[in-house]
Amino acid sequence: MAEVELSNISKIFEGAVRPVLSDISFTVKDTEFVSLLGPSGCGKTTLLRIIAGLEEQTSGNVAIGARDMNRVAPRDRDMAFVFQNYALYPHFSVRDNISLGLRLRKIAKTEIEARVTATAGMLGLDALLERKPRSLSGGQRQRVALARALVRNPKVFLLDEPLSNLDAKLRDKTRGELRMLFKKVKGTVIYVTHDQIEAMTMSDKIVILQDGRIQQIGTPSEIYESPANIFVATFIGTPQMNILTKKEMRAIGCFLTGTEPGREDLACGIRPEDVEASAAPRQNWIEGAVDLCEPAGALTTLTISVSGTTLRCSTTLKWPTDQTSVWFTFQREHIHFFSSAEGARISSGT
Amino acid sequence: MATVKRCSTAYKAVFYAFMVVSVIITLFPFVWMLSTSFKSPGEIFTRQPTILPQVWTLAGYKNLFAAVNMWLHLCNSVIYAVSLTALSVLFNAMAAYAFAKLRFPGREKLFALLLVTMMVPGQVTMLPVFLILKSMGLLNSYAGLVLPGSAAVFAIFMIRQFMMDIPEEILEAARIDGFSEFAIFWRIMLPLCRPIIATLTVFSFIGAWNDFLWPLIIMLREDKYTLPVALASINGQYNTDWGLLMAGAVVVVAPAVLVFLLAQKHYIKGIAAGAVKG
Repeated sequence: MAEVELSNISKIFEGAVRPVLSDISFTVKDTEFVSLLGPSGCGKTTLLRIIAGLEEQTSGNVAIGARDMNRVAPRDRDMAFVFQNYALYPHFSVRDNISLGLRLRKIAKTEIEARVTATAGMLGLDALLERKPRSLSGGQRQRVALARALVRNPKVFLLDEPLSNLDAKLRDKTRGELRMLFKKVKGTVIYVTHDQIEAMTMSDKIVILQDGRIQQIGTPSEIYESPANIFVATFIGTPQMNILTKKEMRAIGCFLTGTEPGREDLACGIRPEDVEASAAPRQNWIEGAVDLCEPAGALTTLTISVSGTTLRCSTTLKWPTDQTSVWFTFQREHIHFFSSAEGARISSGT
Repeated sequence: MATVKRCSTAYKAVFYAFMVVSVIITLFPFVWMLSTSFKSPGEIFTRQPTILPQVWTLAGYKNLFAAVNMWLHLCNSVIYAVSLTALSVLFNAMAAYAFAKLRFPGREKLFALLLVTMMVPGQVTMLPVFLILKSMGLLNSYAGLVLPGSAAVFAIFMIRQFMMDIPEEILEAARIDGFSEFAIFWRIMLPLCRPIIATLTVFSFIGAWNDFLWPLIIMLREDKYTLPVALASINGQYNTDWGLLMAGAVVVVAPAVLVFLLAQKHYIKGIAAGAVKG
């Protein structure tokens, strides 16, 4: 395994006006699981393809294990790539799909056989080795694609939304299995996803991208607890963070004091789960109207409006469906302060 | 409900009647050719012709093999059709791969230029090609016969369209797995293009097998004639032995039909390629 270092990567496609990637720099440490997270079109797959050598960057450097990779062909980078649509060879059997990479590297037949058997066993593909990909289910194909990557024991695993073609239940199950698998093989992994749950639950580190720029790099808890800007704050967390302007805060009867609240371009972020709600009147709590009640099992999401301002609240209370009034409050230490002009974080409420 | 069923039955009856008539019209010349090849000259010109010979005879075939060296011409035809088919499939597929999957400057413009050449009739280029081959000393040679037809724009176009539907990720996976560019073409792309390759193999083989004009121009010596040219040469100026001629036609047509039947399964897939989302 090895460390991956990206320095000032930029990419402009021919004929495009705006760059797809701008000045991307970060390091993926040995055996680290890093997710590239962002909305569709933010450049995360392009970045992964640049790391793999499938796309050439306009400027910047890719280094793996301190070796410059800019002029190295994809097959010589010692990486494995799992594609979103798996990209299995449809005319080869599962065994051939898994072993071809080894055969092309002139590895001894006995060793190939041993590695294929071990990898197939690890992923539960033993009984499917002689079948063609077309006779496999989506989940099985996904496991074959993973086996093809794992069997080579590469320095780096690159995964491009490998779970996106699976149904919700299988995706949930595979997520955990995948994380355990890469921990077991001590793999350095770069994982592209637009699903924040995947990124939050699987990663050691998350790189959040928007419009080809890094918005924040951090551990899942750092990103959740201290979002670097309004984009990250609203992108991470479901339901998304409430962002209220200073004027809206005043409108709901919340007057803040201190250094940050003194700023005119203030935006306050409050996570829905940090808003406490009550169906009965509570002293010093703000009264609002329930516009929408969305029960989802353990949690119920309320959309509350107060004096023309709307915010959402996640509560564990069993909310009466005919209850139209709500009393709510939130603690100052749970408020995230942002500059509404630049979007950048100023500080937390503490 | 009953009306719908009646309409449906009537529609089917008309449809099947139309299909039967079409099949008869299509098959009749072949049946007539086959039947005539087994008839005696007297029976061929009888006033009341029958579809099947009243007296079956192999005289036409015997005369054919006596009149010309059929095995030699058959051999020439096989060499021409097989080598042209093999070379054209290989070269056209390679060109199509480049146009469909490789990135190089001017790719689209070059392809458009290639398509424009389809507008030029083959007869226009025959004389210049003949003169080039003559200057290269390739007249009366299999190379001269085969090489000019071993790249066809229409085939390149067809294979390219098929290849464009093959996901790029499969090739990228192969590049990461360690395949060379030629190995990707040979071991990944060609097997995946089997339906269109089978279609073009049939087109190309039948085209070369039936080709008359080009072998006639290039092959000046009788021992180099292909079957259609040899067959035409036994056609007399004042009289025609129809039994012999039809026997010759059967010999010419049979391999083409065989090739079609063998490749039929893939051929149909190739014809329908791109018609539905795969």
